[in-house]
Amino acid sequence: MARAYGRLLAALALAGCALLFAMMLVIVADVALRNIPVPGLPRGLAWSNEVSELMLYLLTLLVAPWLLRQGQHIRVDILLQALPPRLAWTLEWVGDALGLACCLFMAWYGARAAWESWASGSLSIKTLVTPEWWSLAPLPVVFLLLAGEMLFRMARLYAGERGPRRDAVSAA
Amino acid sequence: MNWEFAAWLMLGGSTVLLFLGMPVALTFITVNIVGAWLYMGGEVGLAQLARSSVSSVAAFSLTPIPLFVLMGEVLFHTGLALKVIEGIERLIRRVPGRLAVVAVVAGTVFSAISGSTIATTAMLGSLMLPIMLARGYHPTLATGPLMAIGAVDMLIPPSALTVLLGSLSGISISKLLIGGVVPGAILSVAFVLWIVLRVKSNPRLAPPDPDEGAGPSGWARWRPFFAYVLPTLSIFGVVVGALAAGWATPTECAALGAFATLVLAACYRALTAQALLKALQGTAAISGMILFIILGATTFAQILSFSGASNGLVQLITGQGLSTAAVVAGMLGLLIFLGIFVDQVSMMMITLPIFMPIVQALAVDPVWFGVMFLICMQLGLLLPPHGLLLMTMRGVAPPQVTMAHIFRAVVPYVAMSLLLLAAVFHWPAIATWLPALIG
Amino acid sequence: QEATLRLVSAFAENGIYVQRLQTWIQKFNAEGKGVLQINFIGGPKAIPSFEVGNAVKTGVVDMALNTGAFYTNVMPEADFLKLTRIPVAEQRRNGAFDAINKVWNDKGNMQYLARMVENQPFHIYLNKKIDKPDLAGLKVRITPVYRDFFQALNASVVTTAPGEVYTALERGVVDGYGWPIGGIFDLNWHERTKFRVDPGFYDAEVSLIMNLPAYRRLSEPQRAYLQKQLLALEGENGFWTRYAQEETARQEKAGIQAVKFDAATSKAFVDRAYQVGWAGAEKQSPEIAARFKALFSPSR
Ligand code: NA
Ligand code: NA
Repeated sequence: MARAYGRLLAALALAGCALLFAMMLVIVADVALRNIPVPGLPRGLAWSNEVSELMLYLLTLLVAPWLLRQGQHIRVDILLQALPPRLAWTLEWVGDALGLACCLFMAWYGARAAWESWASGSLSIKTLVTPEWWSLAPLPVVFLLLAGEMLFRMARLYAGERGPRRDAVSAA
Repeated sequence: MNWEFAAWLMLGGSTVLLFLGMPVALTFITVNIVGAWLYMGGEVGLAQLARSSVSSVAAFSLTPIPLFVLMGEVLFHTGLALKVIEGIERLIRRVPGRLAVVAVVAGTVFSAISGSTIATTAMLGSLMLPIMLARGYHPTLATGPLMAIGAVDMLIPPSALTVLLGSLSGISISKLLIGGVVPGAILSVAFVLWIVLRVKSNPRLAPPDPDEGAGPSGWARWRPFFAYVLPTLSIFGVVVGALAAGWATPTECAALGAFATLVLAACYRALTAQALLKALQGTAAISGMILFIILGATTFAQILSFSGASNGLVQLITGQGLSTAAVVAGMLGLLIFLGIFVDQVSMMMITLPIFMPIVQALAVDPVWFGVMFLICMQLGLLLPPHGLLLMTMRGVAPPQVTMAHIFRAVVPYVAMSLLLLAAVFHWPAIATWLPALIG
Repeated sequence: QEATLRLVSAFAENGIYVQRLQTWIQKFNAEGKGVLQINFIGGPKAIPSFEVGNAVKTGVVDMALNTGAFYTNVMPEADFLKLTRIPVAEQRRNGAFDAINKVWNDKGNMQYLARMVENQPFHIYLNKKIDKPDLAGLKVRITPVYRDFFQALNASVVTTAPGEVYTALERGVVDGYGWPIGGIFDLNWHERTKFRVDPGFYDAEVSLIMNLPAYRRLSEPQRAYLQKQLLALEGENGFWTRYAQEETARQEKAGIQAVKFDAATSKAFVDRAYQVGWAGAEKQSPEIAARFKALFSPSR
């Protein structure tokens, strides 16, 4: 089950990679069309900024649960490394419990925000007019996925050695 | 509720959670939930928090972060970077500490194309360190320049962290990017001079190559430079050219740069589907991590401001009657201290909500301050015990290189960076001259 | 007893709108001791501009300084306010104000309190001279307020962050932009602007709005005091006419040349702007647009 969940998260991350590539192409296409007149095509894509923004947001969300699985959400482990392993292991549990609660809160209130937006028929009126809940709905879904991965993460902590994890501490 | 309590709760709370080892992004989001509940009216505040979190990353100004990282990842995963190092290596001869100098020059060239510090250091470290050690270079001389140049990468555009600093602080991103050029170049030159002087005074640190002075000559010597180094540098030209010619805004140029890098790799027939996928995955990992922190931290700054804590702290600090120079020096000192324990992204997230209003209140030149902020972050990459580049080096170095070697190796470069910081503090023109000229 | 209202601004704190608001808040708090106070929480740093409307709707804050274009996600009608062609004093007399409030109450859960900026028409600023109202072949930076109108004038529209407009003008990424008559000096855009197209069109709308339940919670004396101060605020709106004149003169001094059309073309230009504006409004909300159009236009 943990493996199947991991495959789901990897598939989502792959979709994020595709979005990243598409975002680059959209911006390049906008710049190219603005500067090179092509008969039959518009002079620039007026919607390119708002579509790329949305892609960046979705990219962030799609990759987040996969990064948690890989231990690539950076953290500060200087204290955990300095403490006796057993105590550090206990602190990992505290962090995980808080993290789980945090993801569940965000999922619940994110869902409420999306629901309220849907119920009042709110629109996002830019160059493109879209229902506002389209952009609000992915957030709670991903935080629910993060909460799920948090449970698997805790299971791995329980099964592993009694010491701090080796998650990423930085990336620049 | 008074602002002091809010400040303790949010700044103190996030610090405690940070040291507890929670992922950075989740520490901010956890504190946000508490803050939104207390200060923004309970449940409606939490729904507002979710909405604001969405708008924090759905921002066009942030699109250069993944695109800059992608440029570096493509270079490395297609093997183009290796060709560039070879091209530079053939040109530099008869220099004391030749390979260390090659590393600094190659690192500077990469800096102008890669937006990801860790990629540059890991790449140079895994490629050049084994060769240097095999040739009998002392571990301190072999590792020092590799780590130092990784930090320069952050100053020289493109740089994902500079974009992040600009978008979080409201300082012009293009001016910040250009503002890093001169300090970055100064550091590169200083590093080369230092290596040469060190090896001259103690030649045993770096034995000369057995085939020094030999090797190909004439066209064969220059061919890789024209075949690989110049075309790679032309990516930088594409980006700057598109900007100067008025084809694209500074933000859009990042997409052009990433696209140009892919096209170049394709021209060399190096862009396999597998290399592209690897590059995209590497990019998604680094930038996804940064963006997820932004999602939490932007809202953190908003709630801090909403609670009155930002204003309260700013008034407290600006009301002390300290001189502007003293306040700026204090902020930089705090940054260097934070850099010892905390990663670069978190450094920005914790300090900027308080620092930028102070900078505005004191009418400090934001570009000057921003460049010094970058130098402090660059220092943080090198400072023991938690400096990221020290860890990266440890990760790629063979076992005969000890942590003590690495700590000792980095000292002169930390000293040079501190000198540069002092110089920019005294002569702001080092940072502001070029942006004023171009940006 | 005394109540305190929490107010946020969708506009940055160093701009003229918030400066004038701050002056008003000081007076409000000085005279309202024991009755009603306003606690200014801050600008977009506290709540993102496009979230301020929702924050008022849900009661995260009590009051806000905002413009309709920033809260079309609460109700598309918010942006219709740019189409008013009569002073706010007249709007209060002819029933427009009440009609606005009916919609704002029902759809936005908010009370429309007062309009604090008037007579700030939008203009097209360009670096290439035009001799007729046609933007074909020009790349113009837009905001949603006048996107439809500029597209109707055949412009290629470009979206950029406010911070990038200067560079975009300098390098020719864009040939121009739309902006109200005031404010182009704030970001030094005047250095990269050669022409301003006269006449202006629409009216930059900046108003105070309030969470409806919070408004209804006010006691009689509190509401009366609020109303008195709101009318006093609107009473100061003559400032904006003077400000528009000053800014026009300042632009001329900065070398920005006014592009003028003959009377018939000018009238057609302005009529077109409103025709496009109302057409967009009717597409979003036909019934309310029709009601507002009659009330927002001068009676002949
Ligand atoms: Na664009
Ligand atoms: Na760089």
